Amino acid sequence: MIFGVSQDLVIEVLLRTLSIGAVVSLISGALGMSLAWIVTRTQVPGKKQLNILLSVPYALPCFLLAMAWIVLGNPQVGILKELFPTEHGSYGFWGICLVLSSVAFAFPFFEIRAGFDKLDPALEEAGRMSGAGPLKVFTSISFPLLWPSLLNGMCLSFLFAVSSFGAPALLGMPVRSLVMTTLIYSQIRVGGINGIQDGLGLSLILLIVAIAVLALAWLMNVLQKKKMGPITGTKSSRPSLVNLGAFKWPVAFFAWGYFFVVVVLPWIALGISALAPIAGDYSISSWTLKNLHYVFSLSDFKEALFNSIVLSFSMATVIALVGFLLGFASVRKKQKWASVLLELLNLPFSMPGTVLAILIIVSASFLVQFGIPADQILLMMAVAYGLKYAAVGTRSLTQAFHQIHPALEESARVCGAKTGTLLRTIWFPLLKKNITACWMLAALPMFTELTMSILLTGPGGATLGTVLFELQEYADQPSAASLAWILLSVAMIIAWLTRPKEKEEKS
Amino acid sequence: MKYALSILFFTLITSSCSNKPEFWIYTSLYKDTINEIEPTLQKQFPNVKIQFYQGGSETVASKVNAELTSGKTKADLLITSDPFWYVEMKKKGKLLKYESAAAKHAPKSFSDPDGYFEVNRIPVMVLGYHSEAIKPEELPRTWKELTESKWKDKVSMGDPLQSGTNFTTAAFLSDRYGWDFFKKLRSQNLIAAGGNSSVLNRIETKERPVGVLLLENILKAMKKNSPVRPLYPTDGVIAIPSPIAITSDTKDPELAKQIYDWFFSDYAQNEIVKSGMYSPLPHIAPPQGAPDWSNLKQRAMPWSEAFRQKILDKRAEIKQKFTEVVLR
Repeated sequence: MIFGVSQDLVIEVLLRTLSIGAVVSLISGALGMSLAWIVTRTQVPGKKQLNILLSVPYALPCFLLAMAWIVLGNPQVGILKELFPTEHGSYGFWGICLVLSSVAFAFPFFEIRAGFDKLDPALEEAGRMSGAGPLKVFTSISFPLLWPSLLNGMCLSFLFAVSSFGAPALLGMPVRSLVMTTLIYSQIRVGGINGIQDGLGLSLILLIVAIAVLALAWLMNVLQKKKMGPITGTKSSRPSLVNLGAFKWPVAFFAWGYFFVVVVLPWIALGISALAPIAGDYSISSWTLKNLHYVFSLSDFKEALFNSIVLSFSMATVIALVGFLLGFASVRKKQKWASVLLELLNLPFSMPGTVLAILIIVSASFLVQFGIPADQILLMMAVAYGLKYAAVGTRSLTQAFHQIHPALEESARVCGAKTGTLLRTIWFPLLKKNITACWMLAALPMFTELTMSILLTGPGGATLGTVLFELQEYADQPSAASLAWILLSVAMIIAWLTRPKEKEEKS
Repeated sequence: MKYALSILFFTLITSSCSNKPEFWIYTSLYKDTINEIEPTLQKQFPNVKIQFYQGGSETVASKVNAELTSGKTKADLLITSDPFWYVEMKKKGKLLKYESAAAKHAPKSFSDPDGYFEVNRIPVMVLGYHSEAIKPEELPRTWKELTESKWKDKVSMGDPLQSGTNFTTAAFLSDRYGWDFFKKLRSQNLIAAGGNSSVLNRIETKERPVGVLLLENILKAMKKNSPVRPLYPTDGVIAIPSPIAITSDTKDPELAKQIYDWFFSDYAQNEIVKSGMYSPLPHIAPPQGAPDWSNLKQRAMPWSEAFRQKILDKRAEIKQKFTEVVLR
């Protein structure tokens, strides 16, 4: 027995978790690489829109996608059940991999897209001039330079997959396909205080995996900087785009089809479930707005909207501010402690929300013993959200500090400006857009957070995530689908509003 | 855009402030029921701000337990569906003794003999089925029949680790038929996941056309023209006497007793019955579309103080065993 669970089961579950992580990171790597190449180096139809739209899936909560795929790939009645290799349809291993990959591809995609943007096109140009075809250019010039970015992105996908809870809970538990996070959850549920201890013990295994993968990602980052350092910097030319010729339409079909499967299809599925009067009755003639109306009329919904807005707005502001200052300290001031802190923030990000929430509950009740009222629900939630999503925001801000040439800062410094003035008059205005983007990146997942909120919630502490969970468990599917549909639509709208703007040319 | 957001933000902040003393009811009553009774209850007790914390019985219980480990609970009144947890709370000395005259006609076997909690409503666990997917002559008559091979890939229930009513069901069925019963169900690919709503969903979509389901979920679905229908197993429906109790941490015991009594008023009881549960008071009519209580009682598995105690003692064991046999 290991932490109250038989050794065989722990091994089985651990292997399944690692295979899901591996499959998800492989799919994500392949997709991220090819899609990033398509949007930066080809003339595929609708390239500009694709570039923006492919950032959308990153903002979508996995448990909403899982709810949609249960409708689509239901083993008995789903219209897309044939898509899956086993009799379980979208339940089980492949369904989990599908849902997780459709979000996790974004990590390698972002990393490699940034890599292609930084890569000096003159190198590829030189290859082409010497007579190499697009494939040869890719395999012998781009890929050797970009593989650390790819691996780094895949590491993040892996961490995302092994620490996720919502999708494996909805898709795995009904068919007994447990992963580490769901095993921890069920162990906690089985028995009171022992359960919590067992859960913490089991999460230690997950933590070790996470640290190992994080170390690999860090190594890749260092390697990438070494590789990219001497050959990038100011761009001398725009990349000349690959002429796809006869492959133009198949490639377009692939890229657009991907967006359709990952975003549009689940959105339609949830929409139809939300409009259906009862689950299973999907004919257009019986569509109704009653379920949506019901959700809006709930008093919990008002409380949840308030809490979710307050929590996500305030914590995103904190994260943006901290990220801005830490980024400055680490990149410009070369402070070791800041860089270490930035790396450490990756740890809570790759930790399963369940574990993080329990750690917070345990430490809060520890503080309470000393008369510190740390067990306020909204406070605990704020801390949990802040820790979990800090890395999401700070990562992008740190990179922004790297990307902008410090000439302005240096000239200000020569004129005698102090650090405070530098931050206020130079870096803040320069990075305003990045700070807004960081704020959004952090606010969005907090707005729909479910995993930690369920454990932390209590009287007066409803959030949109917990209300969705309650509706799913105790009301009926159409009402839950209604709220899920609203949340998915909001996430898509926000992702669209905050799409990365066309890069301004920097001289 | 920014202005609109900040205005929204401040209206939300200001609207949530008030200085009346708060009275907290932790409950697993349905959100619709709370929406319905809240204005009336608030009007009846204008000097306090009545606050509800609503969640599944297990969620509420673990919240109260957590609050108690760090001192005291904020709850004044508890109204949930886990009869065993109240025995535990009583033993910890966390409940206030109150033998209310308003509840004197409630069945004694469902209540605490020492007067620390009282049955306030009775959800009933039965079987639900999709009336278009299964022919009437094929229907199972008993719980036991579900283990027959013709029900392979057809049956689902809720997860006893998440849902209190499903825990009680698992406790009854394992007590009567032993764990072999669940082992057989497991080999027929029984799905045990989520709460009662997931079971209803699986029936309605025909994913699993038969399910272990609360009568109230079925009755409510039928009002919306759902094809799901109830089936009363002849080897005993499972009544789940759901208690109401005052916590010993309440700031205002007198007020708490008045509100406790209010939940036995004809108005409150009728609202509860509307949500598909039975009232423990004999003069209140059964839910629409359901048999009389006296009729159903004959078919219900028997409750006793001894049984409550036995299940309470074996609670962790039942959860562990169910996890081993069915969930993993």
